[in-house]
Formats: sequence, C-alpha cells, structure tokens
Amino acid sequence: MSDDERVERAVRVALREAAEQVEAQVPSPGDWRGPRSRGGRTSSRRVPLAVVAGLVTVAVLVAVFVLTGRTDEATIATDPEPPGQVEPTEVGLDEVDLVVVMAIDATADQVAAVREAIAASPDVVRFAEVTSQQVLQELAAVVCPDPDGIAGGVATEEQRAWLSDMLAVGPGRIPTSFRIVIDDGDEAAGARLRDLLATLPGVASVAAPRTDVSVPAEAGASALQTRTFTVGPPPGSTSVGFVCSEGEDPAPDPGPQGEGPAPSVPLPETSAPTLPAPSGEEPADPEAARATIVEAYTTAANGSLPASERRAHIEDSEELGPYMERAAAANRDVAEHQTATLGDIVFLDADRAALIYTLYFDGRMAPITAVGYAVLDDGRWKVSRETVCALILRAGVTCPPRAPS
Amino acid sequence: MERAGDDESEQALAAVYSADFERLVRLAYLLTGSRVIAEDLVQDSFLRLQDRWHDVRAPSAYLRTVVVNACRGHHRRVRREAAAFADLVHDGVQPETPVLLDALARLPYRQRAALVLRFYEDRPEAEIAALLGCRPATVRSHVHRGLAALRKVIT
Repeated sequence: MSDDERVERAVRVALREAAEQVEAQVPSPGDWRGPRSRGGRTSSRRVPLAVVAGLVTVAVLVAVFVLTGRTDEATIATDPEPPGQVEPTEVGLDEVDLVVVMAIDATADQVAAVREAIAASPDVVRFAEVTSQQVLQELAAVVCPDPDGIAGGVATEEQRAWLSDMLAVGPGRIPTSFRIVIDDGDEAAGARLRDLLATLPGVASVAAPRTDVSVPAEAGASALQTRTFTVGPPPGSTSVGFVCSEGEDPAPDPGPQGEGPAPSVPLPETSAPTLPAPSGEEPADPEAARATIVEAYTTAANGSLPASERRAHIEDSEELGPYMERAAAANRDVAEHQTATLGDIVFLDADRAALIYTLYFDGRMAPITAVGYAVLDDGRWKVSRETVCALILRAGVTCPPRAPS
Repeated sequence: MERAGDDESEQALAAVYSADFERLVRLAYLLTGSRVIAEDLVQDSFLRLQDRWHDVRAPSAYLRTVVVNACRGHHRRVRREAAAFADLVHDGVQPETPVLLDALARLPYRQRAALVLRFYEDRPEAEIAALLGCRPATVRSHVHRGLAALRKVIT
C-alpha cells in the first residue's frame, strides 16, 4: 500500500468513526416547523441579524452594506438539479472576500473592464455586481430602522471617506461595486486579485470587508440621522431614491439634470414594535409586579453580572443555559457590555405580561428594541422563554422545542 | 411564502425528513465539528426546503447543497475558532482518528469539504465541484492539498 493510499484509508476510517458517533435525535416534523410558525427566523432577516449578532459592528455593517450590497438568499439554488447549482450573480454578505468599489465618476467602459477582469480570473469562485439601486435599498433596510445606531460604529478610513463622498454627492450617484468570493483553497489568491484589480482604471478601492475594520466612523452619521435621502438621477441612468421616515416630506431634489424629484424605492417594513392590548386582568399588585418585571429584565440582560445571577430571572434557564452560552460566545465582544431598559408593560393576564424592551451594547452595536414577555414562574416574574429564544435566534442559535407539559 | 400545505406534500416532506435528517447531521458534523451546530444547521435546511417544497424537484440533493453551504457559512463566521470534534469519544476509534479530525478541522473549508464529500460521502468530483461552486480540477487540488496536510500529522 502506497503512502497516499494509507493516508486516504486513514481519513476514510476517521470520518466514518466520527460520523458513527452521531446519533441525531430526529425530532418530529412538527418540531422543525415550529420555529417558523412561532415567528422565528425568516430568510429575509437572516443576514442582517447574523451580522448584528456580532460578526461586525453596525457601522461596519453599514459601511460594508454600502460597499457591498446584500442578498439574503446567499448561495442557495432554488432547485439544485444538477446538485449544487448556484446563482452566479448572488453573493451573500457573509461570503464576501473582496469588495471592489468603482469611483463615482467611473465610466461604463471602466466598469465593464473590471467586470471582465473579475470574470476571467481563475481565483474567482463567484462574483456579484451591485448596482446603485440595490445598494440604496439595502442601505435603507439597515439605516432606516435605527439611524441613531449608526453613529457609534467603526469603519476603515477608506470606507469612511467613501461613505462621506457618497453622502456629499447624493446616493443617486452611488457607483457600481462588485462582491467577490475567491477560492479559499489558495490563500494567496485574494492578495493576487486585489493587487490586479487595484491597478485598473476607475477602481476606487479593493477591500476585504471582514478584516479592513478599525477606526471610529463619524463622517456621514448626521446625514444618515436625517432619515431622508432624495436622489437625483445620475447621468445616463434611471433615477432612484428612498425616504426612510413617514410623514417627513423631503425637499425635492431636481437632480443633476433638473428633472424633478426621483421616485422612491419601496422599502421593507420598519415599523416599531407594538404591544398587544391588555386583557384587563392584572396581578393583585400590578405596580409591584411591574417593578419585579423591570428587575428581572434589567438583571437578566446585564452582561456584567455572573451568569447564575442573570439566569435566576429567566424562565427555563437551566434548559436554555447552553443555548444562551452559545449565543453569547458568538457575541462576546458586545454581550459583556449589554444592558436593558424597559418601556411600557401591559398585563395579558395575572401571570403573563408583554413589554417593550431595549438592549444597549455600550455603542458597540445598534440597540435592539423588541416586544418581550414576562411570566410568573413559581411566584417570581421572569423573562419568558420565548423572549430569550427570539433574542438568541438573532445570533443563529435555535432553542430546543418546549417540552410537553 | 410557499409552503407545503396539503397532506400529500406534508407526508412527502416528513418522509424526506425521516430519511435524510440523521445522514445530513452526520455530514454537517464532519463539516463543522459540532453536533449541536450540525443539528441546528440541518434543522434550518429543512425549513428552507419546507419554504421551497413546491419548487424543489430533488429534495435530497437540494438539502445536501443547502447543508454544505450552511456549514460553509458557519465556518466563515467562526473561522478557525470552532469547536473541533470536542465531543468525540476516543474509546474504540483508531489512534490516528482524533489527530486526523483535529487537522481536518483546521483546513480551509473547501479542502475540508472536498475530503469529507470525497472520502465519507463518496461523491464524484463533478458533484463535489457543483456543491462547492468550483471546477472539478479545483476539487482535485483541494483533495490533494487536504491529504497532504493530513499526511503531516500521521507520519
């Protein structure tokens, strides 16, 4: 037996032995339909929530979104027949290895030349071309729900300068960008491709978005906080634009060619969380109950406290503990700085309440505001299991099905 | 959103679930090194299948693609910090197995996936290439480089 054959055989044995140790508990089909029916993760939220969960901070997210655009259905073919077929023009945010941003005044020929260079590179697995309209829609989806959260983030000097340029000239002149997945079997491929593309005319920057992140970004924050973008048509292209806030009438923008205000791009829903109506039934001492609910939430969410102290305020914490640990491990940089405040609390019955809570991360990540629930468990108000599960789902961790009572 | 709504679809979906769940968890375990994460990713993959049930002609192939992609996404998020077969029981396995699995977990994802799909699933190069979104020649390169890296830890 040759050395190669011996290694192959050892690998086969190792893989088989490892796989045989997996005795997956096959839940009933009802269990895996459960998360969807309970309003859990949906594919349209997957990428931003994963990012928010701690991959990068929100301003980086915005910078990267600005630079890269985003598709939620990252690489999955609707029907892999033949198996593995992927859309060649879709690249998920979490896959991007290189982002090529064209200069704002890049010509169509320069964009075409870059496109051809990327397509011809043997190091490129897939690439996506992102138009200004796509970037606008994706930027709106990130910025509009929480413009205040953008201010405290980070971005590279390059990204900050680019964002500032974009805001100065108007989002309607966002240049084309390319997102590229390189062959990660060859670690030198990214550097080679980066060097090659950076020399091409019309290229403003070539960046690796997950690593080129370091300094605070302040440029552009105030402009983003206005929640309003009105976009004029760039020369020779279709006009695009979006307005974040309802009821705020943006000033008409004649655009570079004086053609009147641009039409708006439809936005995803960004409504604030709303509480269900109170049932009228309350605990005997509703004010005392409210106080203990506030204590439960603020203690459970306080990242500086020991886990045991926090979990005492969480329903089913013994069972959920490992899942919360996994979510925290994926977000350790921000989880330790987490705090919570509560808004309105309404009682749904004597032992269940709904409330608005906001989690803060000391400026490291955008605050999260959502509806949560509190339950009276063994005489003590606690953060409900469903609230915890909805929250850790943002970090990509799925709770186990609730055991039948 | 498209969902399997009628009894026949639900029964077919349930049959796929029963037939493929454990196989996919094993595959995902080899690709992630974590049973918990493997189960999560496979659960999520079935949710995707559920949403697209009426558009998918080959559910098992679709699921394999989704799982391989999901494992790659996980690998990229955690990079090399993921638990690498931390829960492997060493009793009863070949002495080289833990060392090989540890080295496997440190490979770039495509090399790791190419080895798992080639030597565990016995998939042909063309199918592995389609699953990984690369050329068959690149699959050969991944397998060659992956084996070379593993060879170093057992020789």
